[in-house]
Amino acid sequence: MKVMSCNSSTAVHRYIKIDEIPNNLLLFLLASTDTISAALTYCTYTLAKYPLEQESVYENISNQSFDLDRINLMDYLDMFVRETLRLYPVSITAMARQCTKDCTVLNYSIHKGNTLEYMQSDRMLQLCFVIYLPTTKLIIHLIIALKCSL
Amino acid sequence: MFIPLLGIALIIMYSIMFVRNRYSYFKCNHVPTPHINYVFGHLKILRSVTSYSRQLQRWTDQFGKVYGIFEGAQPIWVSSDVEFLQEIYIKHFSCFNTRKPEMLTRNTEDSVVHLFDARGSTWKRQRYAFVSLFTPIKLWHMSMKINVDIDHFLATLFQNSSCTEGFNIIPLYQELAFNVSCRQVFGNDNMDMQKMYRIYLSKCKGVSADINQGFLATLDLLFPEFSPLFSRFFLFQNRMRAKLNRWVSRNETTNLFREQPAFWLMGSIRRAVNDEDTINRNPDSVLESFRSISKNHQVSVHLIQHA
Repeated sequence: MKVMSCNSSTAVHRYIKIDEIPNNLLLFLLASTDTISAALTYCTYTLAKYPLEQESVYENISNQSFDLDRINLMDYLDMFVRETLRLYPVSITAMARQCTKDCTVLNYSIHKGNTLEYMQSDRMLQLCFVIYLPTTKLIIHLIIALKCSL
Repeated sequence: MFIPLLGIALIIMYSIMFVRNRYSYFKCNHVPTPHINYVFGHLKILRSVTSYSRQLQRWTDQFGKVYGIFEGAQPIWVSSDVEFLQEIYIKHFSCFNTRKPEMLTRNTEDSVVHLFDARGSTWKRQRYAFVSLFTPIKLWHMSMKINVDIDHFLATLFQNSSCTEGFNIIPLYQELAFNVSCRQVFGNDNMDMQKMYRIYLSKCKGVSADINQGFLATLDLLFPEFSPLFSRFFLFQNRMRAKLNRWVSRNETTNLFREQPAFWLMGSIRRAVNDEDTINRNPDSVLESFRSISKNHQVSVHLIQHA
């Protein structure tokens, strides 16, 4: 790695215009609430639905203390969260993309202005369901683990 | 008499040709598409179903992994083919770096936008600025504050877990996530602010549905050619409502005319940002971090390049 001295052609400016601050704060509030709560809800739902997974995740986190460095070592917990997000992506509309240049994808020609909607192959559940907790013990442990990763 | 009639007939014929041409896009590309309504595309079906995703799933079962639909006049490709998605999100990402446009984000070239709606160089500048908001030290400070909210959440969860009938955990998670982000954004948690957070949360819940399901949003999808007109009218009527509300009552929370939640929130946040009161400012908050990078206007960053 080498640090380049900046010159006018390659330098990247990092600043936010004063007018952009309220917009970005609003983004923080809107984007964080639904995504985090939906991800946590689906994690809880998956744990309740698959008791064997619950055991494995519990084993992975039960003997460890929780801090920012340790959380990276919890590989099974990481896999569990990733798999849950693969099955239940939290924001479909944010994943949709617009084509800005004509291009050909797998013999399909997609034109500028078209929008692409992505969907995962598994059946999707609606967000509104009631969770019946079989045991709160593990969920509480998981939440403590998520404390650091949030 | 004959000439006006001929004119009307020509206009009707042109409209029919225009509409047929618009909806023949997927047919010309040999991409399967569900039966098309020549006025609404598939918008009517998508609006009438209870779950958007399940409707897409039903069409996937019927038409395969890649198919096309029309949200009004907007052609949309729907795919659940992994290879197709790999090409879009990785190989050809330079052609797909923009998010799906909606009424207010369709024409954002000259307007003030946040990172999510920003494009091109604006996106790059804002994205670089965001890096300095989440340094390891700041994250450590944040995690301390998050613990307070999680402890509160756990206490509520314990209370609820004693009931045998089960309970809905979603509102608890929403409150947790919202309290965490409010505390990080404003860095202020006195009683007045907590009361304000609760109002913010109730407003946040209605944001996206309100803007994108309304009458003007539908018109915008059906006639994207007139999009700037619809978005300007939408903003205008909301501004008028806000003005009338301020005129009738000085109280922020009781409104006579219904403002769009997103704009109400925006107004409220703008007032907080413009607040000159320096006593209650918390240097760890996201708001203060934003203020500091906005003051250091145009600070160049040394580029780190892999040798």
